[in-house]
Amino acid sequence: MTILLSLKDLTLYYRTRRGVVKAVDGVSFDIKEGSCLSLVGESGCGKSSMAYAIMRLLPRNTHTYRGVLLFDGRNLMDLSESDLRREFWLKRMAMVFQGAMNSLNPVLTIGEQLSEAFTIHAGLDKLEAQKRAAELLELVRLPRSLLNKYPHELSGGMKQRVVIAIALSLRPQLLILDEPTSALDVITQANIINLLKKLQEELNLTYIFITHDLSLSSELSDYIAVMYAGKVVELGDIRSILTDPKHPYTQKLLAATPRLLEDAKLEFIPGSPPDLASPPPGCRFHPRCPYVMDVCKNKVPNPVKVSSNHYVSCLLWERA
Amino acid sequence: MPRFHQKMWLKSGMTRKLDKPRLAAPEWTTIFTGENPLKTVIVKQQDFRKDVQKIAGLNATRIELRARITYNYYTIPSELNLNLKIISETRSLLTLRWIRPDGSSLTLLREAVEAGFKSIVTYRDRIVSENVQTYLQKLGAPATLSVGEVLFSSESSLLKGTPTLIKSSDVKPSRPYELVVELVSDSMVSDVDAQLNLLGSVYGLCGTDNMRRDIFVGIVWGAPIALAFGLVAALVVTLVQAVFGAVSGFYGSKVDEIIQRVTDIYLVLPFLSLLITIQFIYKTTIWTLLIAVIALSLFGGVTKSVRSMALQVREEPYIEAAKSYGASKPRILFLYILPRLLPYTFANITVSVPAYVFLEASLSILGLGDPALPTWGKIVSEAFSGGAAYYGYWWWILIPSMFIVLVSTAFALLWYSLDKVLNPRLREE
Repeated sequence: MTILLSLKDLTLYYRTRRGVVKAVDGVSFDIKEGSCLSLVGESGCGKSSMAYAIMRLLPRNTHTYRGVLLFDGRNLMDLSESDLRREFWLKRMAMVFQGAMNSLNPVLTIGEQLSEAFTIHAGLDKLEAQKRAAELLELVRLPRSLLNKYPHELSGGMKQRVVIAIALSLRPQLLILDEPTSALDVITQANIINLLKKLQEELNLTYIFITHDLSLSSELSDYIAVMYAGKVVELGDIRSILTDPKHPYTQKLLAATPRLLEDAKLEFIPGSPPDLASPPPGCRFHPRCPYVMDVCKNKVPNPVKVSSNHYVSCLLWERA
Repeated sequence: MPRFHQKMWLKSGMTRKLDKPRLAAPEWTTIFTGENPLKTVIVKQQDFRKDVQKIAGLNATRIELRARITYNYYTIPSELNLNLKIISETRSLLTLRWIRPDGSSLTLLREAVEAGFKSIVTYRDRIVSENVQTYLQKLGAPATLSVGEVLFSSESSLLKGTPTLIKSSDVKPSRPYELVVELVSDSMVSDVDAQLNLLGSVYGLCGTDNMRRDIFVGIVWGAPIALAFGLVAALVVTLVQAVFGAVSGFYGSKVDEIIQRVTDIYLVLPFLSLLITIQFIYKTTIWTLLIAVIALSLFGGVTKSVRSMALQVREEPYIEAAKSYGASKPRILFLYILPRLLPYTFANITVSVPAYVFLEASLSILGLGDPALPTWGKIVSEAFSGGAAYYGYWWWILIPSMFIVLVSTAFALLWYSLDKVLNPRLREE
């Protein structure tokens, strides 16, 4: 499998009143075409910022944005915004936002929003665009009758499907799913995840799936990247991460995941995630780490390859 | 269109016809006063009985016109005006004779006249008053009586110096007043047509002003002007301000800063003084005044409030989603942000319509309105300069003012119902 997207030292800092927030701090990894990578971590660890950094959808208060974003051999960093608009956004990569409920324009009908991409980007006439919009609805298993409805007339799950349909309208290769199921009930979540699985097979899509729900990510993904305080602390294929976690944070995170039919008391990680405006020196997890060593307080760990598809950034493993 | 309005207004007060009374109250006031004063009676050309005699031997023509007026009112007319159209090759002799219901008569006029149009305001005509004076002398009555009193009173009451009106029904059987117009000319091709106007003290729905103009005509033809001015100004000003506000809120940073500072300047501009200066220098019409008003309100309160809303809307997830789909900035602004702000904008348009109607009226009252067009404000302004408040010509002020208030109320009520629809807190379940 070829590598579709390769990040090298991707960095995104925000300027705020409290100082510079290091939301994404030197992240590197590759995504293979047709695979699904999950980004998991606590709230505020920089998962969504990663999505924005990959899409190059930067907020107004961006302070630093650097690194290399190789998409199919082209560095997105070198492109202008109009090039991105013309060649990449929606055509090769698209994003499904957190809280799909609010990702639709409340004053336009579903049909108008679905056909917008065809009339604007693909230059189709209105009639043709409407036809394609109807096909899109079928693709996400929704009835055509929704074309003339407004977003408020749809249920949450339907809206989520519409948002996925819009993102898929120009058949992108890469789809970034930013907590696409966070506001839905479990049954609808399962439906959406099944839909995403089927779409991946049908359209050979590559997913970056952002979630805080480890069990949900295990359903869909091939690889998991665990983020903590703006850095990827562990990255590996799903089996090795779930069965043999190496990083203390990943271990704790898995121990904090509730299991069906098991009466074990849930563990929690003492302390709280660090303030990204002034992260702790050395390993960022050291204030909460049960295996903390003196060296952890000064030295920043580098990724260590523990097996063929498994990397961990922890001094425990660097020494061994 | 405006030219047409102007014509209607001027025509309504065309002085040559003299067919409307000056400063007459509306007719419906008689319901409250309980009197039965004369409403305008017009004896038209075709209502005159015409008798033409051609005297071939003398090469002359004698034409007699006879108007019969059944008069059963309690007051004498405020004016008695005669319009004549005389066709003749030479000068001709015109005689006017007035016959009361009791049969007594007097000669009002006997003079040589040129062909053409002639209007005779009998109460004020010099020759008529001389003739009336001679008549009074002959009768031995006091010379202080006015022409109107002489024409409509019995000779016996005139003698006593206490003129009393004779009605047609006072005589048995009832007989009308008669006016006989006689034209004798030395020409075979001559003709005369007449129209007699008996003007009362009440007229029409809204009364008249001091130039005999029917105020109702002014009101009716002023309405589209007031509404056009108010609607166009409110619509353009509010929409322009809303667009600037949305641009300011959406683009942010430098654009925002510039638009907001310009708005601050616009907000402190002395609006009225500037308008007065512009009017004073350029002597503008109402439409250029409209442009000046719009130009002085490109930025304002709506810019500020729409900006604050745009700041909220632009942070909504669907705007971000649109960005990720590659929507351009203008597209997001006009298709994603502005439609969300339109309900507020529409409500604002309805409240500002009366404000601009008032503005136009107050500028007219200050003498800065359009000099030719009939606008409601201008009618009030003319009433003011005509001393209507002092002399008690209330209809001249109150009726146009009432219409200004009516329009304002109508739009205010429209705004109330719009507000109920648009403001979720007021929505009834």
